[in-house]
Amino acid sequence: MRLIEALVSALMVAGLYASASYGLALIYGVMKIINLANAGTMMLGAFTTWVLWQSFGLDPIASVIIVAPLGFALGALIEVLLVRRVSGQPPIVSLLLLFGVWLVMESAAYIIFGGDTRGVVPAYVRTTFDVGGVIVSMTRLAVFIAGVVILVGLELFLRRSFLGRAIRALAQDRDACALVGIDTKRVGMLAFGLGTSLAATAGALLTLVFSFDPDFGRVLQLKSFTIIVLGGLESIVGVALASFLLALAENLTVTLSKPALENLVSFVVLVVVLVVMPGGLAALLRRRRVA
Amino acid sequence: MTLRQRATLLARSSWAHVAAVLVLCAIVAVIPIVDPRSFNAQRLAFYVLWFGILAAAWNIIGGYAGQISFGHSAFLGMGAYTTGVLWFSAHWDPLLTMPVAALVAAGYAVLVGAPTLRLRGPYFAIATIGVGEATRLLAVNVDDILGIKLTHGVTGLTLPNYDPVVIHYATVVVFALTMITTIAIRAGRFGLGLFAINMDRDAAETAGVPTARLQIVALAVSAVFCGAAGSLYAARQQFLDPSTMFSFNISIAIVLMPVVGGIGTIWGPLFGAILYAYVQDEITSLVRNPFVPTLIYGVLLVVIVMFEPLGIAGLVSRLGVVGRKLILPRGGET
Repeated sequence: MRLIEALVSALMVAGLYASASYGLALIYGVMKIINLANAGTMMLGAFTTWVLWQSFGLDPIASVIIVAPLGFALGALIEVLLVRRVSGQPPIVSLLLLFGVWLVMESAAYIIFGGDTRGVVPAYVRTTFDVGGVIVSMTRLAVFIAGVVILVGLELFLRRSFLGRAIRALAQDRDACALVGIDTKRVGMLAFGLGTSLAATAGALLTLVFSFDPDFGRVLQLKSFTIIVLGGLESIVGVALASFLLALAENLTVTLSKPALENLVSFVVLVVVLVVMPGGLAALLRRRRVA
Repeated sequence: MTLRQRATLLARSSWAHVAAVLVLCAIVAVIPIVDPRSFNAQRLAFYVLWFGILAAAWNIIGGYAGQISFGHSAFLGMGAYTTGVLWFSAHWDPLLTMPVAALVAAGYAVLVGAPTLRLRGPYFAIATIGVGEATRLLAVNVDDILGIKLTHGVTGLTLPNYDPVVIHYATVVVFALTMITTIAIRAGRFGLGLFAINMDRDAAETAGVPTARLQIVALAVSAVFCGAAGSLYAARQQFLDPSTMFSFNISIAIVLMPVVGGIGTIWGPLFGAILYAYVQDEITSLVRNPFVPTLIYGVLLVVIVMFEPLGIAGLVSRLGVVGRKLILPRGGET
């Protein structure tokens, strides 16, 4: 019974982690850049949702329609103005650059909104369901479903549409893409915009589950990174699987040990995975298929 | 020979840099003798040198070897807490605990460096965010885990008083040692290996540079000075709590100073530290919003990465007073 409980609650948290990590994985896959501004974008998405909710009473899930395009525009802008100009330089350069962008986002949010913790509380926040004997809140379920919907949508987009295939091709070999006539700069911009848009969307959805302040996203940043490393860095399905594993590991740690050590789990998992199986789950699956 | 050529030649010699460090330290050291009541100047001098120690120490692993660490507050906090605990529980003199603190920090660096330094560039950087976070959590919870009162958890450690003038001199000495170490490393074989790792790790490995060992040693040396800086902080501030000593904000500051000042250069970290201490002091009292400086640093970081990768040190060299070769991380051939 305890196990089922742990599994269900890990599944719910996994949806949340996965939506926070898709953008990071997409941008890493295409541009080989770790987007440290991911946390900042998520926080901005959350605050935009909060403003929309405060001013117009817009539901966080509905506000995705507004937040996602805004995120896309922001990401495309960052790519064109900043990231593109340091491409070809050592990866440390883009890391420091996006770290700067994150600092700007965070401090700007502190200056505009102050350091208070905010929350979005729609009417259905207290609604709960009984899933196989485990009580699950409506909001967690909503975030989980959103995580699954994004996963399916993203996979379909990447596998079926021309642009999606171009993005995947770019992740594999940039020079070959240029040779067959793909506008690598444009696709890169679109991928960065899409990744940022996913982070902003995650921020909007997470307002349902978490209260937040401008520092929101920093702890999730480390978790997201652990997840994309565990998932194999470029695979969207890998992200979903890894989210579940990390959530489960955390859940078990909290149950068996101390809740305060929850954030330690992701670090330990990160180091172990990077040292023991640098390819992550995706490489593990691939190896089995070959064997 | 023109003045400029002379300056360039001089810059090649490490002794000239060492002499400059000693002169600078001598000037700062006499502040309390010239005016014993110059408390504000002493406070400012402490912060500039203290930040300078941290920035120069970070520069060894981050600037020379090119391994960006976002978790240096872990080493600072380790040092500070070693001194704090020995002073509070065992009544050691805080300055005597400094070598112990430095060693503890170095040992911790070897412990976390051994697995994380297998990672390259960005991976190492992200893993160090985890190091910082994990160390903070440990510091908060260690009392519960061991069952002995060591760090006093989130409430922090309140320490006795200590003569600030003695700390002033100690800070000057540690700063001088840090700078001289970075100068010596840059000039020697060890530094050459680190720069080789920075440029191309595979090529360095192929050429016989023991990359793994050098990086761990570099991190440990870096941690030694951060640990000593932690001791100084504990002795001067007389209060330690995990959320400031191990905070991500301090880690950010330790990255920002050398990067803004001039990553990989000798004097860049000090330029960054002066700017940081000044901005912290002036702007914060001017606008009363602690986040305006952070905004400024963020913008500065973006601008520097885009336009002047050598930061303030690069700008200084552009003014043409001294040749650009004086500033460049090594040898001047890049």
